[in-house]
Amino acid sequence: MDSQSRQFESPLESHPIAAPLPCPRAMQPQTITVATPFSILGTLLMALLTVPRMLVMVPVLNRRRRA
Amino acid sequence: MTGIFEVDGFTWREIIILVLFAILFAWIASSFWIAVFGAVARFTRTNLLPLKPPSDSSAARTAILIPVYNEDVGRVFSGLRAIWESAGPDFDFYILSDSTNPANWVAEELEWQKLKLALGENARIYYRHRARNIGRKAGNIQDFCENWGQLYDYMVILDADSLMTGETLKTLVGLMDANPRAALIQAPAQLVGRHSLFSRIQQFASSVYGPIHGAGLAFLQGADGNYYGHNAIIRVHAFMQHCGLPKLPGKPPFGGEIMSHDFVEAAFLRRAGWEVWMTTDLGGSFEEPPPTLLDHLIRDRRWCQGNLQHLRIVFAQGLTLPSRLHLAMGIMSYVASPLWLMLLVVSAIDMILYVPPEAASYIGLEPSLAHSVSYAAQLVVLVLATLALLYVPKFLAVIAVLEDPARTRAHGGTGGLLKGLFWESLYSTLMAPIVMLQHSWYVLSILMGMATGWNAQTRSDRTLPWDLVIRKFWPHTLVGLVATIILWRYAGGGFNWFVPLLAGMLLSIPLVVFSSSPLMGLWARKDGIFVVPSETRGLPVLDRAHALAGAHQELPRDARQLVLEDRAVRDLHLALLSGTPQPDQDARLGVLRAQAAQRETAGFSREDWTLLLSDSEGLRSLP
Repeated sequence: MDSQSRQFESPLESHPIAAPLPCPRAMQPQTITVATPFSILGTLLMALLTVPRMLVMVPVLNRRRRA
Repeated sequence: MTGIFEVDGFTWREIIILVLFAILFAWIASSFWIAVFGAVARFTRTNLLPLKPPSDSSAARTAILIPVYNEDVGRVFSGLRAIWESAGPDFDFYILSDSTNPANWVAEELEWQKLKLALGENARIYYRHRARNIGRKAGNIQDFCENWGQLYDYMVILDADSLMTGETLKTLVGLMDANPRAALIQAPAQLVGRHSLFSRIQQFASSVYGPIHGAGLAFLQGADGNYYGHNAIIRVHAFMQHCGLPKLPGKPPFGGEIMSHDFVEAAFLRRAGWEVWMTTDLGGSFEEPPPTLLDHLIRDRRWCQGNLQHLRIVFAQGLTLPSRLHLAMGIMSYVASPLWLMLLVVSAIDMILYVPPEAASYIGLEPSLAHSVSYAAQLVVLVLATLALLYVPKFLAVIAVLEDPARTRAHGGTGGLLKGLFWESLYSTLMAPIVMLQHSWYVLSILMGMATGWNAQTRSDRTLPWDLVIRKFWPHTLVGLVATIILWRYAGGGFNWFVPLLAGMLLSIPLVVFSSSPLMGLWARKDGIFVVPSETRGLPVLDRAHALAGAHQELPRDARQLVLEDRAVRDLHLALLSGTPQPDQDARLGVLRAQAAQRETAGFSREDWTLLLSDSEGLRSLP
């Protein structure tokens, strides 16, 4: 935590209050699984393989639903 | 296009053209459809913010945060005071300073004290200066959250040149009260307040085209909205719980701190199940545009790097599809430029190397296109379709304005609106290739890890000097000149298709200079061109901010010297330093203390001044 700010302690009549008393609580960094070039290529390859198969399967699925 | 190319078989150039054209056509088509949805939403009076209405009164505590970094102190505090006067004493204001320029630092302290004394103790306006700029703006906001976030229900983030009306701020608070699943409501900022021709064009476009585009986005995204970094209200505990930014593995530009944090924070909120909305009908949210194209492009360098970094995040696990689309659109807004440049280059090469088939027929004596006449109709349709995607949204936006007589009058009447449409379209057509070249260079330089040397964005209206513009834009002119010579010599009839692009590049230097001129902006205003409602109807918060800025008096001396020479200034500075860790005692600090005691500061560097002004012990001991 990089806080270097506090309420100053000079008398009120000489300076206005710079900021309220701090109430510290840290923010935790979120986890994020970033993509690597290999994972991006893998995702695109899977999409290229999956989408045509899904398109081919649609008529079969429709026949099953109607049946 | 495929049908045209396959006549004589595909060449490698034609395959590249097809792929690039498909990507770019899809890109401009997406913008077109957003505008169409927006127009339909406007004309059918669709409710674009399906939230419960705002509560009448609120017990919530809201902080308004203004992060500053070496800004024009007078403008910052003038804007703050104008907002405070509009909003009343119900909000707490925080100036969160990351200023590294010691003169700015001290000037901010003095201006803050002056404001507090003017407004009285009821005005809860606070000042915090951070000695170390860790995490840049995102780190600045995080520092606030970690110290004072627990005291507030909501926070509103503003930029140094942002303005919001009190009515809008209170409505946003009421909306957050009434809709507990909403973590963020973005109020898109309308561009106002500048006088150069460039900024007047931006302000006109924002006022006329912005509502259609914003309505389309709001209609399509719903609760999967985005965050633009400012002019938004945020639920503090949701932000603190879910928006701590990680460091990306690897080195910059793609690793390290996340630069464009706003899109990522919105994505994190959505990932956690919170709602992110955009309101387009509220009004009362404003910011100033960059005064010149040069300043605009300097800012774009940062944004380009930040958006390209999102390539690491767009495929990250757990993000919603709309969040991925927001990130992808941000990336594409810069990557489209080098793709367009590649398309132009490959098309030109193809045109130059093209050998027409012997059996081709012609219109008249000469072919008007580089393909046989039987495909001329298809090519014309393709060109018209592309122009339609680019320009129909503008016409839809103008029609939406014309539908409202009051809005039409506010934009200078029907004549003024149509003149503005024409001149804005012409200007943006000429500017497009300049921006394309610059963005392409940014993308290439970022991928190669290079710095561009374009720094020091300024925010003031002034005509750019010719020598500066020549230094920055001679490459664009040279590219235009070389391209013109090559295409004129080798492209035959195809040369005419490149004329708008070549004109923009060849005229880049005078265009940038003349568009930077406030005088040209004034002439346009007198001619009733690029007129916007903030001028015709007036905008009280903007007028008040400008009046305060006009009355602002600069300090009589160097602010840094005032700390040494004026006891009251030094006491204030020391009071605001209270609690800040003392810098390390080293030989350099000892030398600085001795020289400062003798007032021998002429040779002090910026780092010397920063060290001295951070040294509370040394300052206390000064005579």
